[in-house]
Amino acid sequence: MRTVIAGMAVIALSTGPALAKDRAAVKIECKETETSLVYDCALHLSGKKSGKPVEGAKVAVKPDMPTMPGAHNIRAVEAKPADKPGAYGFKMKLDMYGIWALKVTVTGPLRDIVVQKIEFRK
Amino acid sequence: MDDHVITVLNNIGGFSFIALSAYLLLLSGEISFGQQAFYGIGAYASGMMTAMFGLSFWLALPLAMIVSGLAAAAVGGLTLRLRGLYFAIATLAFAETVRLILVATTWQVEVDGEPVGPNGSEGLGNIRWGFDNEYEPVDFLWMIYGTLGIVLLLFFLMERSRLGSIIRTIGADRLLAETQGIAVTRYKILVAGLAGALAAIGGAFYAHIQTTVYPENFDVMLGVHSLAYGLIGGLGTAVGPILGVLLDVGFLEAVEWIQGYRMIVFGGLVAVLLIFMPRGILDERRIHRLRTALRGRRQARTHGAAGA
Repeated sequence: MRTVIAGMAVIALSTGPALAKDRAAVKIECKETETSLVYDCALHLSGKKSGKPVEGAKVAVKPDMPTMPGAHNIRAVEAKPADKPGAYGFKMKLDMYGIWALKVTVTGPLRDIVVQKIEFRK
Repeated sequence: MDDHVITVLNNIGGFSFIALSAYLLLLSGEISFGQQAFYGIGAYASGMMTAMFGLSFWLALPLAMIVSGLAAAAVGGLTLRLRGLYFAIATLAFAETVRLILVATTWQVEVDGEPVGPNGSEGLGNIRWGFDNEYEPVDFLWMIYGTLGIVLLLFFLMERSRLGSIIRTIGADRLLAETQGIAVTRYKILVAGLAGALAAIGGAFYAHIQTTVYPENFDVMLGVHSLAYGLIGGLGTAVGPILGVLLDVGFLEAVEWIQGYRMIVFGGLVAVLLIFMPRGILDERRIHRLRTALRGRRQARTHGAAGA
């Protein structure tokens, strides 16, 4: 019994949160193109603590609709670096208007995951 | 494996738990529109334990199951006198209450300089156990299907046990069960608790894959789907609800081109299916026929071998 409790304590504590590193601050702005439900989005990526723009990161964005979890399996799109430091751009096609949660996965010089809820209207 | 395929498979696996949860209640004769509440309690409880208090997912998962199971047993106890439609409405009301409580709840602690915890309609974010420990979606795939395999095995054992017979007897005729000396009240609360714990598994996986959960994730849409899975796939076996999930998610994937109208088309198809197959595709009669055919083939093979 003692071994089981000790084992459980090791499992419980061994995989806690990672130590503090700089996290990502993400700003997303989207505009609907001439094709309905197709959006051109600008993403700005910076360090949360440093405030400095993050360049050379691999950024993937996956939309999901919170009211219909898992119902819209839209593929993740890659955000490409744009002309300014920390600026990235991506195009995505949604299934319908409404509130979407965009999951932004950042790898490279900064590793983080950020989810933002945005309302897409006609 | 392609990331998109893994996401779809993770969704199928995750929804299978809430489908089995609603199926278990259906076996006991109860229709619940509120299993999303226990999926949500599982998601929030496990997410809070890993994100706010640094517990491992493998410890948070059983604890979330206990929290959700106890909540479900309490609801089961409070609604014992209700039957049919009244029970269904009570479960829906409970689920909406849970969702509204989540909208109204803010409780955050500081982790690595960041506020972490439920933040009303902004949800519970920073559920980073998987991300911080470098778990890829494919790792969650193995975790989900491993757990689902264990749950299915337990279901098969249960359905062949005395407990399984009791649950089906209560579901078929509560009065008959009572006259046979079955403690219906006790078993109803047990089934409600087990169903709540099952739904929590799906919620816990969902929270740790998504890393952020919102109260609206657990609204009536999820409850209706979880009930539909069992009714589409069939109530004859635990594989039925999983078949229902496969057909639902598979169908939604196949008709991606009709976009926002998919749910409307899906709803119509479910209605048509239920007219022709009221207890689903793999209903008790089909499963019985299948089992008899398999037994017959096995016996013929044994006799053939003995004759030779």
